[in-house]
Parts: sequence; C-alpha cells; structure tokens
Amino acid sequence: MNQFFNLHRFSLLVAKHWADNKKRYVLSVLAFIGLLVGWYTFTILIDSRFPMGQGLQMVTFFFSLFTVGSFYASQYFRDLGSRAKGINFLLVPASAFEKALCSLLYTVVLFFVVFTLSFYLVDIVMVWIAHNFITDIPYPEDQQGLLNVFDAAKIHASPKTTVNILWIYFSLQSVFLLGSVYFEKYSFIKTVIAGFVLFFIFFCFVYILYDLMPKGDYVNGILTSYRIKNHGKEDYLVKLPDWIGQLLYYIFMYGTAPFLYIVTYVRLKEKQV
Amino acid sequence: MVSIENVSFAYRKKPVFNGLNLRFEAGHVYGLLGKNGTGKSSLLRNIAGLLFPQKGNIVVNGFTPGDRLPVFLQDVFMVPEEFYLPDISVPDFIKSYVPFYPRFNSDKFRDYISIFEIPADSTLQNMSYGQKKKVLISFALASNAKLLLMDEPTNGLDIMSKSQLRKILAQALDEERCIIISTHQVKDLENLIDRITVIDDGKILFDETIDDISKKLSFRFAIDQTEVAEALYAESSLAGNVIVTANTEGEESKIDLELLYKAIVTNSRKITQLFHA
Repeated sequence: MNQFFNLHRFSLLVAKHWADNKKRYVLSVLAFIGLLVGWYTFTILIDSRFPMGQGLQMVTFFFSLFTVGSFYASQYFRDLGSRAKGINFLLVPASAFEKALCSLLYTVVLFFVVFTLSFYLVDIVMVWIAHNFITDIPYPEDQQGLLNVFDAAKIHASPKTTVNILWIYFSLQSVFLLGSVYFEKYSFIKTVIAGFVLFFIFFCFVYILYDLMPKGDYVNGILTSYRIKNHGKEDYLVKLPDWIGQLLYYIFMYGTAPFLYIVTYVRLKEKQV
Repeated sequence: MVSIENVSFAYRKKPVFNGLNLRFEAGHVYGLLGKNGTGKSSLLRNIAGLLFPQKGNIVVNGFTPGDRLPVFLQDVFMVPEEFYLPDISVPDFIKSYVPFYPRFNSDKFRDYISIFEIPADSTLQNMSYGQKKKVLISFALASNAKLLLMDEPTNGLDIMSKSQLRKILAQALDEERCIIISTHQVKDLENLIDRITVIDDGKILFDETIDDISKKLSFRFAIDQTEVAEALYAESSLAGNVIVTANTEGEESKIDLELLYKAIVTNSRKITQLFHA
C-alpha cells in the first residue's frame, strides 16, 4: 500500500474527522444561520425603505467569509497544541500528506461549500421576505434581488487587472491554516499578530528602499515603477517590464495559498508533541 | 523489534538522554522505571515517532519512527498518561478508528470491555477517567499492534481494574508482541514484567531480565544487624528489616520490584558490579 497517499486511507481519515467533529460542526452551522437571520432582520428593521440591497449582501458575505473562514482554519490543527490530543492526531495510521489534504478538504473546499449554501439558504429567504412582505418600499422597481457572490468577487483594480476577492480570501485563510499548525495556543490571535509584524517589516522595507532611491515617488502601486524627479526638467520613469509586474501579481494572487499549503504539510510532518 | 543506538535527545536546552543504547525484543513485557523527569515518557514518545532524537538512531520494526509512515503506525499503539478520546459513543469510536488497524480483533475488544465492565453503548465523554483509560487499553490490545507503549497504565485505575489489567495484559502477550510499560507503581505490574530497565539522569542505570535478577539478588527479611549493614539495600518494616543482597546461596526469592528499584537508585555501582562481574 502506498505510504504517501492512499485513497481508501484518506477516505477513512475524512470519515474519522467527521465522526470526531460532527456535533461541533452541525452546531456551528446552525449558529451561523441564526446569526445571519438575526443580522438581516436587524438591517431590515433599521432600513425598511431599501431592504436587502446587494451592497449589504456583499458586505455580509465577504466579511463573514473572511472572519469565519480564517477562524475555522486557525482552529483546524488546534489538537496539536495539547499533548493528549496531539498524540491522538499524530498516531492515527495515515500519512502526513493525507492529514494535510484532509485539512484542505475541510477548511478550503467543504467549508466554502457549506458556508455559501448556508448563506444562500438565509439570503434567498430574506430577499424573498423583503420583496413580498415589506409594503412601504418607495421604489419597488429598484429592488436589487439576490447577489451573485461569484460575480461580486471580481473587482476591476485597473483597466487591465481584475482582482478576485475569493483568491485573496483563500490566500488569507492559508495563512491562518499554517498558523494553526505553527502556533500551539491562541493560534488565531498569534497569526493576526504575526501578520501585522510581517506587514510592518514589508512596510519598513519599502520605506528604506524609498529612502535609498533618488528623490521621487512610486507610480502605479509600489516596486514595479518609480518616477525620479529631475528638478524642473523632465522626470525620469524607471519601470520594470510589464511582464515582471504581471508575474508578481500572478505569484502573489494564485501562488500564496498553494505555497502555504505546502509549508503547512512540511510543518505537520515535522511536528513533535 | 526496537533498537535504540547512541540516541541523544533534549528539549531546547534541557538535555534528556545522551548516547542512550537499548534493545527491546518481541515476546517480552518491559518495565521502564525511573524518577520523575528522567525521560521515561520522552523515550516512549521517541519510540512512537512523536519526538525526534537529535542524534543517533531509533529503528522500530525496521522503520524510523519519525517518518510516521502509516504502515509503522498500524503496528505501534501508545497509551499515554494524558490521553484524549473524542466525544462519541463507544460503537462510533470503534466504527471510525478500527479500519485504520487491519489486524484489529473486535471479539477481543468486546471481551476486554466486558472484563473491565464498561457499558458498551455509553458516550466516551460521559465516562470517568478510569473508564476511558480502560476503553483505550482495550482498544490498544485488540489492535494487535506489535509494539504497545504504555505510560503509567495503572494511574487512575481502581484496585479491581488493576488486577483486571494484569489479567488482560497476560492474555494479550504473545511471541510477536512487545509491551513496554513506563510506571512508578511497580507493584501494580509486578508479576507481569519480565525485564526491568531503570533510567536515571538520561542514562540506563540498570537493564536486566527478571530471571537474571532472581539468580543474582535475594530479597528477604533479616534480623542479623551485620547482614543488614552489608545489604545492597535495607529497609525497616514492622516485621523486621527487609533487605536486598547478593544471592550467594543460589536460592531464588520472590522479587520485590519496589525494593529492587530503591536498591538500584541508592546503590547502583555495587549492583552494576554484581551483574557484570
């Protein structure tokens, strides 16, 4: 039997994770649905003239996806923070790859599917209620209806570039998944702090780089083009080729999550309790 | 079964073992004794692949434990002192954990559970610590893993359960299986252990079979004060002095593991000389 990956063993691991956690998961989904109903009811009550607008649905979906998704990912490997639970987890006869893949199946795939379905379950009902039961809407023809979250996720950052918020979400979630295997306790808070520290270091790096460069400023974002002021004469523009900018964009946008998944697997393989 | 060669292990800056050499063979029950903090649990976790040695090699059934390959994990079961069982019923626990152990014997598990008098359909989280431990021990034995590592298995068990555990362990031992038990409560497993290994200060202080111990040491009462003074270890009791001496008469006496342990810890040099003369 293959010791790196075996489909049967992987399916056993998926079933075991479900058996161990189903109570917690079912209760969490019910709590999320309850909170969403409560939130939408509150917004309808305070703004019954334009209820359930798409802006509200969008903010609700992405804010809760980012926070709940990151928090869930930060809790996935929390067993490794306790010696007793860590021993139970690490000694289950499955490979580190299968255990890491199981974490991706639950935190990335199943979480997103269940989250989106739960969101729409509430969203469809609340939009329908807003359309059919609220009678004092001044312009009923302006009712925006149901939000398509996949269309809403695409944001045009520039004429050439479309940013998909979902990719940013998966990248951010992968940071929290790594944090859950890296930090033994308070992984969510520690990951947030570590994120801020890294961001601060990056900020300092950009600032120091700016300080070392001839007087001028960054153009179109940072690090790919720089305008040098030439004291009354025509300014110089130092610009990296477009393909480098594009490459950096694709690496950060689509490479961060897979890279951090690999780091999570390696860290899990090296984990000691 | 388990070969430990020149193993060194430390927690950050705190050394635990330095150049440890040991072998554990199938068909035996090993008693791992030592004071608190001498590294007994760390040794078991190194053998299970939960900790990695900084130097040296550990080989278990031909595998390096730190690789934690599924085929290795199927044949090693650890019952730790602090353990975790999920909040599910015993049948659900069996259903989701058993498929990982291809040689698991469900009939034996039911037998062990019934010997331990565990209600078969109760939820694990509603059980007492002792009951949960008995479920885990039953599972460990029924898994038919070749190597069984038990860290303080009698902690939390009542008097009846300790005797049930002795009975079950004696039943479960066969020629292919090696059981390593780390314990402070040596009396609980006195008639079961067939080799004693004492760890002190990260080193092996003593590693002998029960047969050799009974050939070379004598455990008895003594009234004569000269005998007491010359003993390897002496302890006063209500019935007189209990002593551990060299067995010069060739008569085998019943080994008292607690006395043996105290003798080794307080007089290791003389005992080592006696066994390696």
